[in-house]
Amino acid sequence: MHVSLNEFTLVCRRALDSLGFPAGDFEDAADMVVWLEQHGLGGAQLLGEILPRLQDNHWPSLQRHHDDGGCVVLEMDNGSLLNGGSLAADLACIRAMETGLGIVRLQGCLDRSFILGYLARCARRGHHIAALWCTGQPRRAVQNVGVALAFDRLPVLHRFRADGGGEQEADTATLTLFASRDFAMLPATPPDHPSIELLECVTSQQFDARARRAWDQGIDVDEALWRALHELARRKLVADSATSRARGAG
Amino acid sequence: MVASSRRTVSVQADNPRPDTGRVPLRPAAEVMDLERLGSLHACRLSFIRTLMRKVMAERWGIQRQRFDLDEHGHGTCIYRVASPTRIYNLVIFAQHLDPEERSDRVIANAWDVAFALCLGDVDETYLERLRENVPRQEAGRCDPRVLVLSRANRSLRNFESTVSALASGEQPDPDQLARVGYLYRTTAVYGNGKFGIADYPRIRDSEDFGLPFSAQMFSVYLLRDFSIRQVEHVARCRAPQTAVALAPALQRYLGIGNSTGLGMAPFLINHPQLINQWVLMRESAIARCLGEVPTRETRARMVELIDRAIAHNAETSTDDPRQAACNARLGEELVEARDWLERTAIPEGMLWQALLDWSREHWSLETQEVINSLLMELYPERVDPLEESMGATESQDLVPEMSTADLLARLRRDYDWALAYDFDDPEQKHLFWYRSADKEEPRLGERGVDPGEEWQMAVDIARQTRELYDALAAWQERRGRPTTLVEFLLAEPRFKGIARRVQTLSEHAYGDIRANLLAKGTLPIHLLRCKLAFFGATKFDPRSDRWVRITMFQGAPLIEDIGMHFADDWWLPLKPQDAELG
Repeated sequence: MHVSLNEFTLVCRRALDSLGFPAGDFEDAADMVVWLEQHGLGGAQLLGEILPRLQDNHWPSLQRHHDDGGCVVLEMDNGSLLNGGSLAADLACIRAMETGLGIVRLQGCLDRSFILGYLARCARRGHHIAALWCTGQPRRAVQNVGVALAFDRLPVLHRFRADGGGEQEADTATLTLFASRDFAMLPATPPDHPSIELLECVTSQQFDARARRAWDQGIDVDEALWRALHELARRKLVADSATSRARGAG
Repeated sequence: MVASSRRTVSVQADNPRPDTGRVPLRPAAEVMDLERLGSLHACRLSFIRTLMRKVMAERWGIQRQRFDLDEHGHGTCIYRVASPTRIYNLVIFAQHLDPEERSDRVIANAWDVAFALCLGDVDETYLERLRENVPRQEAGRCDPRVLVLSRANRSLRNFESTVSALASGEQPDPDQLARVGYLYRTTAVYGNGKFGIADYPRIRDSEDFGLPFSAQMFSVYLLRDFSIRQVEHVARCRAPQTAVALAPALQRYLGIGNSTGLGMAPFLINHPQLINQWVLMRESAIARCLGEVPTRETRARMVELIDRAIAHNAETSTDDPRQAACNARLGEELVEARDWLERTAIPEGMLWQALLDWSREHWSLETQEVINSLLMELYPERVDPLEESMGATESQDLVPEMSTADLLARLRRDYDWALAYDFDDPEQKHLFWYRSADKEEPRLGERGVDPGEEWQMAVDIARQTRELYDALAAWQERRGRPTTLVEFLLAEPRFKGIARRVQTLSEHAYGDIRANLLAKGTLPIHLLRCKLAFFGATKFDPRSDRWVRITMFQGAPLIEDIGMHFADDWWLPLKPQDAELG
């Protein structure tokens, strides 16, 4: 199914609204999904994979386990980053403003890749922010590092092997957000570093080219997902009737 | 301390704040009043005025490349357009429509014509693809080469009588065209990615259609030419020996109608930064003009414009009692305005401001806003450059570090109008807005009477603001001190949307319409009129308090006029006199 970005954004917003995401959060969550899709990182497919889970009644709220001013640990209890993850990034930025450095660790956090879209928004507001998370199986994990510099429009993404060749067990359930006030963080590992294998590097220029292509040509979305999103969106539509047709708009 | 700080009206970072000279902008409390917004008239900054200036100045080449219509006017027509930078094609499919299917509602499924503005040339293969999808409108799928998708229905009264007159060698009755100044009414004009067409960012940076709604307005402009050529074609087919062409004066007098319902209303609530930009530019233009010192010529020109507005208003008809009363009062007050201007002894340097002050004290909102629009006609060099800043980049970002005390102060300062409503009073939440399952048409329901209250749309900004205020106050009381906003939102995430909106619009004073849209007696038609005025609509003809018919491009240059002298003085056209009909 070939659709425009605006169509995809609207249907995502309405679907997440129907699922019960709070006002403000359903827009942010949908925008994070669309950002990933627009920038070539498969946001639509990821949403399709997690949609059944999002329709469950399990909606854990963020629990604060630790807070020493500069470092905050939040427990998400296997909740989706889409639900509340953007506020966690905001919290990291604030702590950085207050103390110079803000670290927020989201434990038990699913769907962590979506944070990339929100990093760009934090950067737009003048924050340096990075996100680190591991994906895959603990002994075959990939470390993802997204970095957005203040006022830059787009982040960069690096992906590394993070399992020490199968010798180490990576934490694949935590997202770490790292915001700084007085210095900017840059991806630093050279591609030929002996101990770390760089799998992928997406520069902001590459992200920009992908975004422009999506604006120009639209995107392809799986038809089943498209139907599912529309089905969800329709939940907030009111059944038509002769009275409604006549009284409601005539 | 926020509450005592000076309120500024700012624009987005990539748009410069316009210099307005010595005259301050009108306060948002005055400008954003719903009834005043519902009294706006078109002006030099309206989108169709801006578009015509561009098309005429750049001498766009427009050809009727294909005109394959049968004797009923059904078939395919293609307009090829050459701007200085790109080639576009408007493809029109005209078809038979069963009269019983003819409806202006968005829930209709068939139309007299359906059309698409496409980027680049259209070959036969692509034409067939368009033919399969464009006439189906919402039920079809288009691709990003399509910039605009739209449809229109004939005005049965005018179309048939115009064909009959032309076929018999006569010109149609100008009085009838004055009552309904068009042959076709559009019922929806889609852009920005709808049904698979191009996303707005694809054309936002283009030199041709970068300004809001300009691609949509251009499509409607071409439809106007089609309507004229089609009616002439049908007349020629009916009576080849006797048929005559429509007199050029009548061609120019014909516009395109539009029928607009509640679907337009949520747009004004959901795009506050764009609305702020439109209103800010209009207010900046007014302030610039008020600061000008009139000369004998500009004063005489103003009298002339008022006379034209009087005549135009006299030729405006509506069956709606409220609008008819407004029009009648407008006519009387414009006569008073002309008399005031001719006899006043106020020094020249203060004349325009004095006229505005006098209008505020003595005349209706309609009259005040017509005078503002007329004033802009006097100083095109001060007004027209503002058209470049009618666009806005829309993004509402949370300011999570803001303290709850600061946000409460902003609410008291900027949303006092919303906090003044008593939502314990059932009359203040009498209505609710919802989307119908029938083509997602926005509708209004009565709370406790109509079903669907639980799925209401979030256009209730005043009520949300009240709830945010109460929740913030309770939060601070529980915590014993203010906190950062993010701490509040981590505990109360349901307020994120309205908190972010309040923070954003605190810097965009003209973004929020100052009304409780749930209140009993709310007239949604004011919302529609506001947006339509920015489009450039005239001849407002409400059909109820929820939908309105209007006319666009009436008086505009014809395609054949491109390249000729252009006075940019076509607004408020008057019915052609017999002598002009040849």
